Amino acid sequence: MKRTISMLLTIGMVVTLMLSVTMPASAADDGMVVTGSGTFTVEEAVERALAYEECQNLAGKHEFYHTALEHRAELDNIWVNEEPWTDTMSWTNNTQFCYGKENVYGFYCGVEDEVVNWTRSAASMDDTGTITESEEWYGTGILWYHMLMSPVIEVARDGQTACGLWQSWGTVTQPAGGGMGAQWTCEDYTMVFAKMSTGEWKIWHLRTFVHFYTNVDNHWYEQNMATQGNGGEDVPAGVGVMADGAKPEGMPADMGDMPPPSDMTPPGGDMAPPSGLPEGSDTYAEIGEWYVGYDLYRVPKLITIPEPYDTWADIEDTFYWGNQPVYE
Amino acid sequence: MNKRNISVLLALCLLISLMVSVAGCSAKTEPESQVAESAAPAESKAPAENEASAEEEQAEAPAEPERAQYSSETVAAAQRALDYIEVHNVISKHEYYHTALDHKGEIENIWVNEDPWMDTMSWTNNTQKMIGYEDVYGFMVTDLESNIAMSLKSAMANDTKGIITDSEEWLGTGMFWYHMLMSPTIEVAGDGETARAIFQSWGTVTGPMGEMTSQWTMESYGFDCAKMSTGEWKIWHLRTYVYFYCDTDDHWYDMQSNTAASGAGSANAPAGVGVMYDEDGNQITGQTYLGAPGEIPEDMEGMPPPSDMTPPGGDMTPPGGGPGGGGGGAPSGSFTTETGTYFTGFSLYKIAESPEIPEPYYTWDDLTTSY
Repeated sequence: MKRTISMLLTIGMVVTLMLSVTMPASAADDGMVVTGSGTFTVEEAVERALAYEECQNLAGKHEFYHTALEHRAELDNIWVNEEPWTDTMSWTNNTQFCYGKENVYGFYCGVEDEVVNWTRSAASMDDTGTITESEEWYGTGILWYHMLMSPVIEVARDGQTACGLWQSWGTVTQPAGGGMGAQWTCEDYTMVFAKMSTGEWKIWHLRTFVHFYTNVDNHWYEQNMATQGNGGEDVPAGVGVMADGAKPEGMPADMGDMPPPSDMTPPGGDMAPPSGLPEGSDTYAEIGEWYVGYDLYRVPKLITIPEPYDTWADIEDTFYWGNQPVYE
Repeated sequence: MNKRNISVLLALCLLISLMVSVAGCSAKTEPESQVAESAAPAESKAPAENEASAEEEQAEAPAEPERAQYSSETVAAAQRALDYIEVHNVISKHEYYHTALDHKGEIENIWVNEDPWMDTMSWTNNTQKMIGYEDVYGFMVTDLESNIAMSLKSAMANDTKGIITDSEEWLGTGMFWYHMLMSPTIEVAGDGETARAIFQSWGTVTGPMGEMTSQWTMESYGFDCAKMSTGEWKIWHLRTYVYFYCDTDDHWYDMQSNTAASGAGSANAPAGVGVMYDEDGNQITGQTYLGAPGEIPEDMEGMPPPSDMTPPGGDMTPPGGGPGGGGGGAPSGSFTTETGTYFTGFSLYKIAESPEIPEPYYTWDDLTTSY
């Protein structure tokens, strides 16, 4: 009997082994998803992947709204729309920090007022008489096109916020002062996203680190609106130049053979360089030196890279989402 | 033992085996339950206003529900989705470190850091191949440090204000290396251990290179990434396929303006190209076209034979010999493991090509090439 039992157990073990090898794969050892950002349940992993997609989509949407000059619609549709998020939403560029819903709307929608002036310029340039100073022609001849590349997006472990970083190349091209002007634009973006109570992700903070805005006929090492900080009334959103025309501290006051910015006459006519704050927009922004654009006297710095994090409070003081100066 | 006993024996074995197998397997059916709730966060306030104490949060948090069970295929799919994201993230990070000239930080933080991956990590450009941690580190950090030091000298020469000094504080001043990655094509291996990716890239290298210079850069990138034992994805192989580096005042279809078409190694090259600089730190262009995939016609009607081409700027001897020669001289002090012609930059004589497009694969050993 003992011998029989032993044989029985042995055969049972062998058959069990054979069955477990040949049967279809069962659940993973513990059903968890392991990444460099942590270990997640399947549900968490799926939510995380979808959050990444939504945040990438939001960033892309920002650019499409911006090119269409639909700034108000952009703010209404893809920016945070619940309190208290709206109390702390922000837009930051090299020298302007707009904080809170009123200021962000004031700044971003205020640019639309400048578009009216540029439309007038377009009409004045149009020898055919086709363009009229009318709503129908609002924004004609304006191409603000910023492409987002090299994304780094981290979704917080708590699933409430996410941070993103992009490189950007583009152009701002527009009529102004009787001539057409085209600039190259080069800047990094950070964005912080927040999940609303509806489950929708929205933009909470947007910041640009403008390396240069340069006339396409020039070299960015010679002429850079983002560094020279020449004041003016016609600034494309996102540049940030010193309102009073002063250069950021530490920059040489006299850049060799370059004329002072106020004397620059761009090709195409007598046109004020498109830089400076929109009229009245200085009331919406705290002015400072949050980033320094490219030039010979700037040493490159690692700005801020999103890394895995648990909750917003962990990184609020270290991630460059707002008026944290990169160059002290 | 008689037949009856054997039958009983077999029946019992089968029964025991079946019971053991069922007990060891998880349910395979998809759960019908809702997404499991994580610990409930505090009410949706601005983070600065959330002052709930840890105790209160713990008291309010509902008990964690029983975790639903999923098939290994479902788990693998979720894993793959996050792996794709992390691979994309780590590749993008390369460019931010590069722009900051923080190559040491880059190799420490986002490149493979475990054996045996480090033995076979690599960086390849048109004419240089660096294999193994020592050579990759040497190229990325040591070689580029000398590049940056040379650039500082140029910066001082261009400094009309006399404020730039030959000091650590000013290393990198005026340098702007900005390569943007687009059109991502990423494949994560079925076994989740490696991933391959290619990207298009447009950008600029700008800075004091003799005189102040701004160049357009256009290249494709190939990456192989590996998952470390920690679960982190890291860069394992990086390869650039440089179509052109060309002064922004010139045309990239002009062979004499495309430093990648002339392509030879240099210790003073922007990373990823493989170009020559003369002793004054000026880039050498217009070299005899080397390593064309096909033969350069001996008689290019209306054009002098390549060996007679005198590029603008002076009488420069092509490095490495005439057409079809090797990839030119290796940079002095370089950690280049190999030199060769791994990719030829754009020109009239270049037949269109792209890097190998990654296709779905199960495991690294299934592949025959790496980036």
